[in-house]
Amino acid sequence: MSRPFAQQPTFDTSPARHGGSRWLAYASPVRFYPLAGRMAPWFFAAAALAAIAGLWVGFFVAPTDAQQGEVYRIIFIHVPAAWMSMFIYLVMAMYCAMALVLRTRLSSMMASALAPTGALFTAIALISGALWGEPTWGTWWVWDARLTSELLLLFLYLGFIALESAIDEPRRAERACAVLALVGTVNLPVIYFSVQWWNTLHQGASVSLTAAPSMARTMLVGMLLMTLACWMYAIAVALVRVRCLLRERGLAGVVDRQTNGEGA
Amino acid sequence: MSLLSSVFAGGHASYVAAAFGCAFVWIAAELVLLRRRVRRTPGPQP
Repeated sequence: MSRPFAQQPTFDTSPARHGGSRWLAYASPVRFYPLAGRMAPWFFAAAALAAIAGLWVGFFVAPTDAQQGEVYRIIFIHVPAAWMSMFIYLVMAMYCAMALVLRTRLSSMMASALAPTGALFTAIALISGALWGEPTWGTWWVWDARLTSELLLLFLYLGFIALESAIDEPRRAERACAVLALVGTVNLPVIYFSVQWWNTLHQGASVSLTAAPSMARTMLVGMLLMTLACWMYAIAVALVRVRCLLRERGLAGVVDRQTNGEGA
Repeated sequence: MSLLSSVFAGGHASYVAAAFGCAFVWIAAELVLLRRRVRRTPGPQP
């Protein structure tokens, strides 16, 4: 996705400069920037391979469902998208918390880079859910707890993106968005446990960490492969987007300060 | 191919196709917008 630059910045990014911690060194935008550029194509490739394998298993290997027939195959896009919508928000909120506590700019930028992809997966989950609901429930939409809380998640993502673009000063925008993202995490357990807490039209979880899956092994494999594809895709897109953000928000300035010995 | 044929024969092909098609189009749109942004963003100054 990204084009190589004719002239790469040259500056000291040795771990010793960052207190000897190898991993904390990558919290530096200057050090993270080239690493993200090298990693993104690999994540895109992994996403493509996992998607091909997942679609193959989903459409050609997994058996027909005894109750729903063939329409259940929407599960291979609906469930991975729904899982990713929640997981990305959780990761985003963690980055926002790190940004507020540790004041690391890269954390805020990672949160910003993840938000559009999170919104995309939420929208896919809602639309594919409606397309699954019509033939199985007889309705496109009901205001039950699972669907409504997932819709609220989409509004949280859109609110995050809108708030960020509404505030001109990046530091202020990052803080405001971080608070919004952290407040919004209240919605995550509501989405996850809604099918247990309330009587909903939406079915209960077929896969959980504490119980054996209530579906055929091939269905599960197809779903997990598609989830892996979505995960790899989200990481790849976030890496490319964070590189754009680093450039838009003055990576050049960071380089200049570092080379002048003033630090990041 | 027999499974794909049965999806289409079952009368629910439009729902399955719409769900996957919608996801594919949106992901493609995101990638196109991202590529445009990458091209538009100026490179770092060494």
